[in-house]
Amino acid sequence: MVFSSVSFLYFFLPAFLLCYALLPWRNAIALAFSVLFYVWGEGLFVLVLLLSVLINFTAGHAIGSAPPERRRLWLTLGIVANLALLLYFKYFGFLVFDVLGWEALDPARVPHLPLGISFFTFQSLSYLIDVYRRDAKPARSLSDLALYIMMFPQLVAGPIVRYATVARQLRRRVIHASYVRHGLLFFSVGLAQKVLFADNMAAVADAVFALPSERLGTGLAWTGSLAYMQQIYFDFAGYSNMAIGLGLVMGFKFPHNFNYPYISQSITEFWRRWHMSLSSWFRDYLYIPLGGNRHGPLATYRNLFVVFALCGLWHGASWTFLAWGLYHGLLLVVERMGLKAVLARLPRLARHLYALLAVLFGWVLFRAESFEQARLFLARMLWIGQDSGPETPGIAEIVSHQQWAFGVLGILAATPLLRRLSTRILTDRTLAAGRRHGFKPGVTAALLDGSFIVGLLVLCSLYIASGTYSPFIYFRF
Amino acid sequence: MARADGRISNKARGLLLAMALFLGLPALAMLWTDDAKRADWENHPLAPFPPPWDRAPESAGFFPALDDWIDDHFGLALPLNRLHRRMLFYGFRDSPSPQLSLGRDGFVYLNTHDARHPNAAFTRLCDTGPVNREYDRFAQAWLGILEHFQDAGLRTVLGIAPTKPVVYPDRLPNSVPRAIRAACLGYRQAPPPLRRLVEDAKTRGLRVVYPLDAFVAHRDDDNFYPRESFHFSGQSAQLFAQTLMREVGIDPQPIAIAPRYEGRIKADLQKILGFNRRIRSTQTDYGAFDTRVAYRQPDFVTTCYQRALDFGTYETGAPITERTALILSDSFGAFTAAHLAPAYRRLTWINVSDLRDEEGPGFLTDCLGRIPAQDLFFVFHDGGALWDGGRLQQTFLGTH
Repeated sequence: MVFSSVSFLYFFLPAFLLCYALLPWRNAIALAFSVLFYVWGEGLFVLVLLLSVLINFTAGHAIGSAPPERRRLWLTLGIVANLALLLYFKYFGFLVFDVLGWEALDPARVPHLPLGISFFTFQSLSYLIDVYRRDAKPARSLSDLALYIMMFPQLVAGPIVRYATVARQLRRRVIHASYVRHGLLFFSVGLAQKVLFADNMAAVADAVFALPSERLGTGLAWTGSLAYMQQIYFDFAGYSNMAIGLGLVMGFKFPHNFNYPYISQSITEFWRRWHMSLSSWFRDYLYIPLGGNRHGPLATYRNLFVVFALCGLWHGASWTFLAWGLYHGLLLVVERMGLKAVLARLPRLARHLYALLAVLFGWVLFRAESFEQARLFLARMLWIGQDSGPETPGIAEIVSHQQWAFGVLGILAATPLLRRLSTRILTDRTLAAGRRHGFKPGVTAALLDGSFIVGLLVLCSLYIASGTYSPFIYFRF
Repeated sequence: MARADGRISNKARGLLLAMALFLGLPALAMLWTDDAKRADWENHPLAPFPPPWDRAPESAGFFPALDDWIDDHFGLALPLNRLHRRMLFYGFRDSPSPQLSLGRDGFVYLNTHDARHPNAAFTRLCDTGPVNREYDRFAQAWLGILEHFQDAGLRTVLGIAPTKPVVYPDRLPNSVPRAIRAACLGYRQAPPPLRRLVEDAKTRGLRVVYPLDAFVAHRDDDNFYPRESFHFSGQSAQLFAQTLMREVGIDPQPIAIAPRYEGRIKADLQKILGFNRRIRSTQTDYGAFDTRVAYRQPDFVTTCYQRALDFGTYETGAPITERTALILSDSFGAFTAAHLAPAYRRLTWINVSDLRDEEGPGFLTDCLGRIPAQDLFFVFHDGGALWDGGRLQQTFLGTH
């Protein structure tokens, strides 16, 4: 079930909010709805999730209570069990067909990829490692850990929440009106990012990437890649915002996941702004344990390549994802080797341009079905090779007026500009008008937020009701 | 877990309940939703509620089926959908349906009947290659039909209505592929197979008219073809009717000089656009002829043509002639009938687009035999006329 579906938005969510507001035992309610959420989308694969919870509860307690010399063993066992599940469900087909080249296996026998397995596996690993490092105590009850791993807002597409972040909130939290208000704001903004921006851009990107190379012109290749660049950002940031919003509504504070990544001036900065919960996970649980940058440049470069190769594979079980990860690793290494110093001497605009283009070319690799498609697509973007044929569609054949409008607005929305403008023009003026009419600023702000939330929800409902194509990209990770 | 984990303030509780109520409105509205209306509007049967115990191998599972059921039954779907379509149409100037193309300044073209085949209506008309290759078969079908009815003593005319893509090819939007736009621009110079049909009919003493040149000559007259519909109406429909009248020996001057006025008519694109709207059109006042229309008359038509929807009869108190006529047509027939009616004491039009092959013989004997007609017009638009000939030959004459 996706957040932007009719089933979730108009049935599941109201029922959950109603129960959560009126009944006690909110953890039990949240857990019951989380199980229902997963069963609704994945059926009996909920058993994989429950097995993961059970393994991690057992391993966490074993690590917590074991004598020092056995703690590492229990941690290793826990990590192996989690990775075994991930390997089997996510990488089995890749290993068999692509790595080992065994053609004898019937592709129909490749296991189904349970929704969100990469996310809940990483959350589980963070739990075990935090317990091992004594950054967190083992979960006091199975239901606490189950709720941490299975909580539906962040179960299938993040953000990746550390156990230490929510351990206290699981036991003791107060749900204030300001939490709910901000939560609903986050949720509606996230929904709008997904439904209005990502889905409109998805239609453009899908149409362009579906074209055979001989029908792909340079203008269209740029249009498609830029559309995909927006799609993946708004899709994922939108989902994260919805998850953070729902978390707040439930009284949980999840970490922010995106901080305007496309305003970065280097790839190093990009990874500090993009999918922050994943990059910090890799930093804390892989890069630093590998030695980070403490053992000289060569070891640092090796560590970066290892981390980004795994980061690429985390996104998907295919060579193109691995190449995408290595491409980013290479850029980070090159920046460390001296490019960053060169960039620092360039005008700001040039630095932005460098970062945007580097990310954009990476997204082509990420989106392409094969290296050959990526090569042809990039060649067309760079005007290399043969001209496109007479059958090349014009941009207007692919991009509607609506998509243009959201594309342009999306560029603004991907920067802090739109937020600053709306704050300056809308919020400040409304508050001033409210003061003139004798309203307290708090009341005016609440009314403004309420109108904004309702307005966005109604607008999104128009699109959702029209049954537009609306898959979440990050669900496959 | 038997404890109240997570205290909640009353304000927060109120906000949660308000949001639950707001988001739950579509679920509540389900109680008052007219499912039959939605099924009719969307032209498909709505998904049934899935039995939880369904374990059939072909079953997709309970929850996917439940999603389908919710998608098909949630309340407020129709108003939200209409609002969305209006926003696309008026706000973004985009077509809300793949079946329509919105030209520059909102000029509407029919793109396709079947969304799975985009631009089919344009290619069918403007790409004359496939038609030319099968011209003989198509032509023989029409000439056979015309001959059959002419031999039965009816003054028979095939009127082919020129449509927007070839009358206004220069206004086709850039969303239509360049090659198709070029083909439509070059259509008149081609020369189109429909012109061959006119000539071939003439040599066999049969009547086929295709007034494309006349339409092009008048295309820039104010509101000649309505901007907001792909069907003709107003002046273009009247010009077409005049052409047909000349062909059966009736002087069209009386209707040509009838007073005109600017009016708004109900657009007939409701099913495609998803909402109702009124469009600007030039209307003619045929009050002097004392013309009255009875829709869906004669009612016996539905007994031999089950899916008949678009038919009716004009009775004229002061007609130009005392003759009677029948129009068998596609959707352009009703527009033609309105302007042809003053020429006849009685004129019936029937849109035969949905007539099934097996209904053909019964339709000919039990229905058409009971409708008085001295003149018979077949009216089809140029995008489908040739194919319609083959279809009607099979339906009426039982031959290919």
